Amino acid sequence: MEREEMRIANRLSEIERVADWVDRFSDAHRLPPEVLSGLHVSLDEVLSNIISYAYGDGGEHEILVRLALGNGLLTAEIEDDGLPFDPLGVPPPDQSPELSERRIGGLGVHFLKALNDDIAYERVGNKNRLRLCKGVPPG
Amino acid sequence: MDLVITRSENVSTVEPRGRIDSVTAKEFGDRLSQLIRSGANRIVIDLANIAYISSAGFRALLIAGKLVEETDGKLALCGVAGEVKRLFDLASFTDLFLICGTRDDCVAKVQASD
Repeated sequence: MEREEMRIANRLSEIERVADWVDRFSDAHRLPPEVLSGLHVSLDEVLSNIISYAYGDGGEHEILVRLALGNGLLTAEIEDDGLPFDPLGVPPPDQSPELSERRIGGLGVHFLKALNDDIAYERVGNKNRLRLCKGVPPG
Repeated sequence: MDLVITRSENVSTVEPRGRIDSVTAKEFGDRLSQLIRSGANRIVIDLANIAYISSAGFRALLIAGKLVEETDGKLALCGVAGEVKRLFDLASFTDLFLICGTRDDCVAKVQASD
């Protein structure tokens, strides 16, 4: 089992640091391209949501991101101490065909569901904990 | 994110490089808006050198598309392949934009008057 973790501050710019770290993790463990892009997009959706909406106090907070790879499974865990927030509790995207009417609101959640095999959210004490699981084909 | 913009006659080709995510989408969107509002509203966006695009990036594309429409311009995308194509398909965005197989195709399509 390969495990790594990273702590970031609640600033959008930190997402670039996470993305670089994910690229290094992927290089080291040879993640298939679709798993890598899925992980990148998933983390971007989750982290940008947390950073933008989880804190009502404008203060500095730490967000923990953990990656675990083993037994054909990649698990990403994101833990924050913001307001209780289940990212899956958001309405689905409006699939209307008109460019000007298309709502992008639920696209992030749609991506999370489409890019991961399993998603689990729990509130533990004062923390939100989100776990994303993706099967990784043997290679 | 690097953004390479080239002009040929009345068509501007915008080529972002790297990733279009929550952080880079803002600059990407701002540059596109600037371009379109300055009158350069026949635009080709070449995504061939993008590793992935998140919902923030799709939002920026959508806004650019609306702005182009409002100014009676034209927008086409090329380089939609591999992982980027997969994300477009997942988002059901493939039918929202004019997507061409090559940059030249795109340039020809946005250059032509309706």
